[in-house]
Amino acid sequence: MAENFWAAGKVHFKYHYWFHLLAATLFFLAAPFLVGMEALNFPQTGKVLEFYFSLSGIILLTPLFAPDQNRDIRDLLRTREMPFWWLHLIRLAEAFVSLTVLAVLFLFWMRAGECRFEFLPCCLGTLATCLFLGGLGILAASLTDSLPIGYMVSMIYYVCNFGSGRDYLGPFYLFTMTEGTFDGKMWIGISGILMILLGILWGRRRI
Amino acid sequence: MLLTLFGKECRQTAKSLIFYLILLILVFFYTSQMGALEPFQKPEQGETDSYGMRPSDDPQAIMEATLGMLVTDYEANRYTAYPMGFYKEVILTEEKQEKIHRILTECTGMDSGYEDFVTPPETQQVGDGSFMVVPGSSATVPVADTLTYDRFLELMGQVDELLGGGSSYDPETVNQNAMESMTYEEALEAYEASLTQDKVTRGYARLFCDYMGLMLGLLPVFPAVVRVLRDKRASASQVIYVRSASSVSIVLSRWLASICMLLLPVLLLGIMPAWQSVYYGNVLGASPDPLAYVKYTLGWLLPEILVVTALGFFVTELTGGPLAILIQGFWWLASLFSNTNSLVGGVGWNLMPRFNSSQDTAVWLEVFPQMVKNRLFYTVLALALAAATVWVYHLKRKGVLQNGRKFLGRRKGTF
Amino acid sequence: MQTEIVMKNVTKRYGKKLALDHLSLKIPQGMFGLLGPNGAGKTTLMKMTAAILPPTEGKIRVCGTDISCQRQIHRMTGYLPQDFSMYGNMTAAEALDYLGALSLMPKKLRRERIPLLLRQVNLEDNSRTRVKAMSGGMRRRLGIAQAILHDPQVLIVDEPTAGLDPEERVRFRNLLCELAQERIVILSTHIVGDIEATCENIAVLNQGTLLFSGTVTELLGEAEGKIFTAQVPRMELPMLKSQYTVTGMLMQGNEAQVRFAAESQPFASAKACPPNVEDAYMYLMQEKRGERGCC
Repeated sequence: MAENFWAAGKVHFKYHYWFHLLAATLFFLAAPFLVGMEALNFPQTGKVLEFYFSLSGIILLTPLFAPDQNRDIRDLLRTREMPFWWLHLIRLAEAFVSLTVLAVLFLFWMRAGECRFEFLPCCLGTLATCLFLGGLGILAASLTDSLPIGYMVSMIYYVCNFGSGRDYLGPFYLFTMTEGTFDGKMWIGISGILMILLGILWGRRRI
Repeated sequence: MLLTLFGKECRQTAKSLIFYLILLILVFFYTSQMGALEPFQKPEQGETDSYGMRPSDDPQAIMEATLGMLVTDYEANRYTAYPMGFYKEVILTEEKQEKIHRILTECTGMDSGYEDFVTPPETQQVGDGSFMVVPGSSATVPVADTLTYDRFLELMGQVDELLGGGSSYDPETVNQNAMESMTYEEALEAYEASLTQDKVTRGYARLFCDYMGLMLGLLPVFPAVVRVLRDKRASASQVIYVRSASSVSIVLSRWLASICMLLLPVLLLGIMPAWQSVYYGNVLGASPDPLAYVKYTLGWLLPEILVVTALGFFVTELTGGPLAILIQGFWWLASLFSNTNSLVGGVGWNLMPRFNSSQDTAVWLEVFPQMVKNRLFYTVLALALAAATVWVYHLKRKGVLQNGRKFLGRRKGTF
Repeated sequence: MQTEIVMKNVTKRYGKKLALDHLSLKIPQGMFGLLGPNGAGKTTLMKMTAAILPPTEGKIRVCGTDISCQRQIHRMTGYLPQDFSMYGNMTAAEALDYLGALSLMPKKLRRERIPLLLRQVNLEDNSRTRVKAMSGGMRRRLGIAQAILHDPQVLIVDEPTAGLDPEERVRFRNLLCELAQERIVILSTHIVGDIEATCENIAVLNQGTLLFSGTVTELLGEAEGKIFTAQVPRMELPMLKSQYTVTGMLMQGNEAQVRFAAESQPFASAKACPPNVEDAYMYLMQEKRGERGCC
């Protein structure tokens, strides 16, 4: 059984996911050209993680249903013994591992640049933000059966966090580390995971 | 043919989910970011101590303040830069510090010890007994008699380059290092300019475009991608390829419809504030320009919609996937961050020029020629991308190209 | 173990549209043909049998297992959709391996079966051909290979011969007949010839209802004595068409040789003839719909 998961994951990577991971890696490598990564204190580090790195969540998580855009292929995959949502969990695991690896590397990179922050809380806070943005994308893509709309909803949500948007977002305001706290990160993370699960559940009943 | 297709495309768009999502986003963004009209304050003589600050235009003051800052940074070897709007602390190598040292020597005429000549900024005691720097005041250092302002700018350009750009030594923004209080006459002049030259309405129209521009630097890519991918998803490409309509009509009708269906809601959203500002202009006794919002929307926002939509069409037609969204997302992000230091008058070649003020007529008039160049550039770029899309579509139609594959790799077939 | 599919009172609604209306049917082992015009509900019925579409009402049991036990049904059934497609840049062998993995087949078994199947469907030289580079026929054959990859008891094939050339079509039918020797093969089509050549049992669907269910001989029996041929002047053709269901026509100069269905001998020159499946089908459609028209 494990081998079947592995085979399914490998195919997903080879035919679909490599492209998204490449995009995320390029985005990761472009960081020092766009944001400062040296000698930052905690809120400044938080700003870089939330304003910049959190977008990796959109790049890596949102395309969960990208391979299912063709209805005939989707029908065919649904006739196999492996339940369709397992396949989504395999893809999700791939995305989550990629995201965690990139986040940890990013934080190490900032640490090497003598930024001052607590490693674990920052890492979890960043992952929570990524999961929220990605989860929103997954849910929107699943509900509308359209990947571009998934990207759109999560990117626009990100934009809403700038300026006076925060007054409307309440506990779902994303840029709290920028203000020097981890307030609400747990809820953001949990709601991110919930949105992902809802998205997968909806995808399961979509015909 | 083009008109018929255009009409059909518009109707199709009006029935699509993404169109209504975009309407929702635009309305939300408009209501959350643009509150009620902020009324202008006519300066009253003797009523306030200060009529606001403005960047100095006195070369001597600029040079003294900038070099004062540079000496302090150099001594600590800790410089601050905001290359993309993000804080970046820069620590220079010995070699580069040496270069800064040479620049300082040339500017001050002293080889060393200039820190002793630094005049600290003025401070004043505040309520709790602590001291704070008087707004607009900065540390200064005397400047060598031989230093001309042009040479100074040149040297500061070198410093900015050594720091990787985005520092306070950027020759473009170096005048902001020395601030001056505005006099009553200057404040009155600025106020009058808003009334006579901007006719009140134009100032508010600029603010409207500044905010809406932020959204329109990203949003149009989504309907463009959805439109192109719809053919692929519905396996309708082949059926459409064989019709007698020319590639030009097919692509242009889609592109123009996407533009039109984005422009329309923006124009409609402008009606309310336009009406308000006309009313307010009349109250102030200016002769308001009722078409200001339309003119600014067409001149400022339309080129942005054109180019973002065209890029979406081109990349999606070429690759057959949602890559355009990632590219546009990145472009948008870079444009936004690189402009956060100049919210009023940040134009350059940025996709989303900033002018976050309903007044500052003088600044507007200063950046206006660049704004015209900028918008013309994006319009031309958009037309070029649209032409390239037609070309790609045509090649795909002829079977020479399949989602860019043969284009990039083995190219076979006939033209 | 039961070797039949039993459907009881199956209804499917898409919003207000009724796609299947209280349909009951038994499908025994062997080739079973589902015949009906486009939009009759054939694909809906097949998708429900493959457990990828739940019925609004009613029960379907596949070899004794209710279709709500999705995993078991998926293990037992193989499905070839009307438009088989797979990620274009996969090779034939890769596509089979991937779909096999999703059918939870062990790697060893996949390694053994994939070359065998490729040979069986005549694609052994194309194992490294990418799906998007395949012709319609090759793609269909790859489709059938993936459907029988995990050796299912039930094979569901939707419009298998649409878009194939005559030679491919015959080969495909033969392949399905071979497969039907040890399993249930449900085949949907609107091409009567496919059924005639392969199926023992058939069902005819129209607008979501079952018009007929039984053997081919029984279907022919329905139209026995109701099919006539006649030589008529060309001028009279429109009138004949408006009165009877014309199932065949051959122009010969100013005259036409017409084959049509009628309840009794309509005029003296009309001769009764034995019906073929197409005649019987047309007769059935006309009779059950209670309308007369021509094809």
